[in-house]
Amino acid sequence: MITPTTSGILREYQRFLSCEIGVDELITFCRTGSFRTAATRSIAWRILLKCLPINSLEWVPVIEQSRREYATLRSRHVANPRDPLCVQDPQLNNPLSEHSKSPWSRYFADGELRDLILKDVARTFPEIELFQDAEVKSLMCSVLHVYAKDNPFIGYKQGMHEILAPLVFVLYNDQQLYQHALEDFQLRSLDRTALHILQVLHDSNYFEADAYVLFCEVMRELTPWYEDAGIVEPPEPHPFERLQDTMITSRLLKELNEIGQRLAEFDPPLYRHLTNLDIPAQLFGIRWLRLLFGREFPLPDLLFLWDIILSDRPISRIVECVFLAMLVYIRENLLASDYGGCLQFLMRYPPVVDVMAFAQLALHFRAPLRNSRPKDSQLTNYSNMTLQGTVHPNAGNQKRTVSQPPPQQRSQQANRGKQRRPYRQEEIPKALGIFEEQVAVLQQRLNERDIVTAVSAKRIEELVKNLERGSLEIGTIAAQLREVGQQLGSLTMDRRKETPEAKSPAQEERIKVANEPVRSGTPRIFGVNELRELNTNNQNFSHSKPPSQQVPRDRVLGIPRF
Amino acid sequence: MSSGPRKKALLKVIILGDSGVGKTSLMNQYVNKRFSNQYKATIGADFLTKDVMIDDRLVTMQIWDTAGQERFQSLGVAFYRGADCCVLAYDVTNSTSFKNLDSWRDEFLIQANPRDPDHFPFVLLGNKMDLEQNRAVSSKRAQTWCQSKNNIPYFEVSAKEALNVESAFQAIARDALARESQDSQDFPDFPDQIRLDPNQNNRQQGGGCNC
Repeated sequence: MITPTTSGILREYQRFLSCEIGVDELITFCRTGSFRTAATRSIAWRILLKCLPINSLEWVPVIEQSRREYATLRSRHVANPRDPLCVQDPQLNNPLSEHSKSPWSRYFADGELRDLILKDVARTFPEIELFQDAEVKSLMCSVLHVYAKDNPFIGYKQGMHEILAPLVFVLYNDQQLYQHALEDFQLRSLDRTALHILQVLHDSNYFEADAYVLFCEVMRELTPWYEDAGIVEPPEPHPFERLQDTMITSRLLKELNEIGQRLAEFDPPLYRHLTNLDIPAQLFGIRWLRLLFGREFPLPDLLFLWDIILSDRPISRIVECVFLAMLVYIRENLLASDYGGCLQFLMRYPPVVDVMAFAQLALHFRAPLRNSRPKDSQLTNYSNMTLQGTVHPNAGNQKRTVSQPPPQQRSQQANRGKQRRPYRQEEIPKALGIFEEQVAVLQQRLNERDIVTAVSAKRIEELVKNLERGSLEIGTIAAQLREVGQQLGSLTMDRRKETPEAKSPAQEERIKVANEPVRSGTPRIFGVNELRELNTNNQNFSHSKPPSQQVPRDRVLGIPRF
Repeated sequence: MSSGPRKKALLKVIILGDSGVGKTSLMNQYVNKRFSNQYKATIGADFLTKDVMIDDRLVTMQIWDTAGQERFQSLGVAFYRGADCCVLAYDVTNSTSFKNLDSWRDEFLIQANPRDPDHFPFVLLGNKMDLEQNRAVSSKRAQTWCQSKNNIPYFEVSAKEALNVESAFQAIARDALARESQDSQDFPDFPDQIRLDPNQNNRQQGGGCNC
């Protein structure tokens, strides 16, 4: 399901409000992907990050307290000389004043920090509509600014903006779903106390404060990876020791070094291969850790991975396991590649087809006895494309594969390009399962289009009536018609390419919702060829496929919401 | 020690410069012939390769794009090691990015620690030349700076309009390649091998005992 059903969302809230779930159940929900389609992920994350207690009756005072604290911090750290609450003495509140207590001196001193943050916030998830919104951008800037000022030892570092972004997304998404549920009278059966708690929790006036509190908690875990390294003189070269082993100064590089060492336990051939090529984890892993894998997975899958990561604090162990799982997941690609090929796979991680199987592998590494290892046959990825849906730089680079692949890999390569064999008997059930899933997705998509078309037709009819009666201004009608047009247009796959026209704020709001990426858990639509390959070739897809047949990763189903 | 051509013509090029000057755009324009204003901030580093013909010689360029905020060791030594050329990039509309070039150059020399820092090949790229109306650094000023640093080649480019990007990278490749024949042992990571055959041992030229 894409949107939680009426009873679904109510049931979700009730589970939290009635304190039915304990922390253990919460963790299980996180690991099994229950929040992939939920409206309560933000609540789960707030509990996991200890921003909220598990008992819902304590939520309101706790959250109000944290909002008050943020307001104080914000007024202390964000200098706004034009704020009427500021000193009004013209001797002090004066841009030319050199007095240290002048709000302007602080304002100017912060200018560099503001520019630095804005430069990154402006480039946050350019493919997601929400982050193009001016208010959201300004909210993110403020949160990062207050954090940098309140944590002067670390300040603002590039990457923090993409830790904040998923948190903002989840808060916003849940707030929207709550609002819809409320407007649709889905929450009628809740008592007043429960409704009040939900209202306070989803109060959009406090987005900034709530995002800040979540961000601080996540950063508490990530600080070591953002710290500056100490400055050391390059040591004398020492025989038998490589520089990367001797000059590790930051905790980030140390952590990456340790992860690299652990690969030796989990996958010795892969470890040897990467070591021989002189590709230490430090070379490619900085971004993986600092962004908590934010560039390696599409947002819905990333949020699910974060469910798993945040439910296993302190997070460094599970992060290490996700890291290792990412390497093992593309091991065949890596083993068959040379230095350049490996780095391009690691710097542009190929899209993971089945994030559930991937998560299972990471959880297996975390606790091998408790979590079984997924069958290797489930581990598939698109090695010939990037997450953005463009052709992977390694695609078609067969001649580059200089290292000796293992025999199994070699035979697989030999098979490549030959006629696809028919399904084996034991593969049929799985193939059928995938086809059925695809048919269900297509059916669902058709249903959604029906709904959107029906709603649009109704709105047009109403507008025509208004037009006849003359009860609405032409401008309003035009705006609404344009909106309807955009809603209908958003049904098509290429909606993002349309040039946005001038929109009223109310429209923007609606369009933003309509263009939001699909809620997690939606299977992609596969091309028929892809499906065949998914089933016949478990490890790699043919590189000879023309790019036009590739289905870009971001072309997932999206339904506009009214 | 070693002379003659390397077995494989592989050039490692590192792009350094302030945040937002267009390092990622330059790399992508050169490698993919594409420009987008949707690039995200580079975190850590990025990497692309490109095969090019330089004077009838096939060369693989490994281009390392870096984050503008990364300073002092944060990327680790493995990253800088073995660089054949360092591209310094600034934004002609942003004078701070020009002022910071000195520190980028100095830091590279500290991190990479090449044997002959005075003659290590740097190239300076002044990006965003299409925004002439916003220019904050004159070509003259940039050229003067380049002269003061042992005549670093200077190119004004636009990743957006694909102006001069190709020729600048050609020059980068050529510079690095020319350099390679002079000295391929820039980076003293590994001490020279110790040969166990006494007749072949060319390291103890004086012969006899050193003690």
